[in-house]
Amino acid sequence: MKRIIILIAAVAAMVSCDKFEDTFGPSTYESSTPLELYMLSIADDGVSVVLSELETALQTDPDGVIGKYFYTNNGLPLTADDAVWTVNREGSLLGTTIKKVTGKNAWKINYNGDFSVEGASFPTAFEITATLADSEIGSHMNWSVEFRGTRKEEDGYTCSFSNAEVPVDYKIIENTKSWGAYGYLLMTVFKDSKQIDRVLMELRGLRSSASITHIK
Amino acid sequence: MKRIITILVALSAVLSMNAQGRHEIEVLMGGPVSGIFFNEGSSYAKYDYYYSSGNTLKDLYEDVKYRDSFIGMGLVYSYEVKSWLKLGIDATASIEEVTIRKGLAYKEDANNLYSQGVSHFTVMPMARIRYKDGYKAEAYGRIAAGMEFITNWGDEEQKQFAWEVVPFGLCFGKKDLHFIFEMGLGTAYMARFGISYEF
Repeated sequence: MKRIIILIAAVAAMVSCDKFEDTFGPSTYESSTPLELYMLSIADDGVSVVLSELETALQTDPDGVIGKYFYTNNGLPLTADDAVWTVNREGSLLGTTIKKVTGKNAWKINYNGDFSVEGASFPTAFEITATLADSEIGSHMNWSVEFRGTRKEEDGYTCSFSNAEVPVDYKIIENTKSWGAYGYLLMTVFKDSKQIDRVLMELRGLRSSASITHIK
Repeated sequence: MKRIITILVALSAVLSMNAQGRHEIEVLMGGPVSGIFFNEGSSYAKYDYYYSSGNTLKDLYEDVKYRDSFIGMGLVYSYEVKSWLKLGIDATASIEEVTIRKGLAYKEDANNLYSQGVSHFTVMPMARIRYKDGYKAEAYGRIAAGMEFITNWGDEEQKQFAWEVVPFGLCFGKKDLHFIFEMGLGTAYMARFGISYEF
């Protein structure tokens, strides 16, 4: 009788443990929905492309060959207050302006053009204020980023997006050379100027661990 | 009721002609090739949606219809006005299985596909023109235009203009009974086959 009771208790414990794992344990497979991928293309790809350009410009001599032919600048290095640079190189960021924020380790970047992400290219405008968290300048540094922008697509669809009032941190993912974004992205979708959806995405570093919530 | 009136009007117009020709009844099966004339996605596109990050807002927020299957039955009556010309009426009834991918404005998950049955009934006055009459075989073309009545199961009936052009059809057989195969362009079918009987 004792053995039977112990056996039943052991089975019950195993079943309840499995149930606990199913309910509260980490999911073993996380997939991104199409909307998550769309928003990640703004938060992950769009902003990080601009940050890479900023880092390149920061390491460029304004009077050197690259500084003269790839950028239009006012002769000041980007680390100096009052520095203003414009990307002069053919490519997706042509015409982007970078301005040093006076007295801060931060830069304001304005982009206005057809930004192409994963094959789709539509008029996009955004303003990014990127504050450097590291003391030395290099590649793939840690940034705190505020951004807001709009994108105009076909058939009357537009969207606006921003960092939802909390700066998004761009940090290097451990053991890789790519950034992970940490923070929130707020996107509002319009059809013929009428709001049809509002979505908040939480960015938790890895692309697959981002999640979205529809806000009414 | 409207359908019956349409058929009767068309039939009486044909029968009131004075020509002394033969009557012919055709029973046919067929349907359109998926999606070509309906601006719908292919079955591949339906699944690509989930694995591509290149979706636009339109891709994400609008419903898209995909035709999965379509089968139709046609009944054609015609009357020989001239040796090379037959006039008549082409009635086609068909059932279509459609998968609709709902836009994200309604639902955001990987299972936002659902299937729907759609029935079509097409009535078209028709002219059949003989190109060549050979030994036991006849090559012909056909033109038709009329109305299509579409019913999404559970929804209200919709009407639209229907048309069909058959640039090439082949009819072969003995005496009064023939086999028929034809290729067409239009709203009702793209390929049909069946039998016909002349009396």
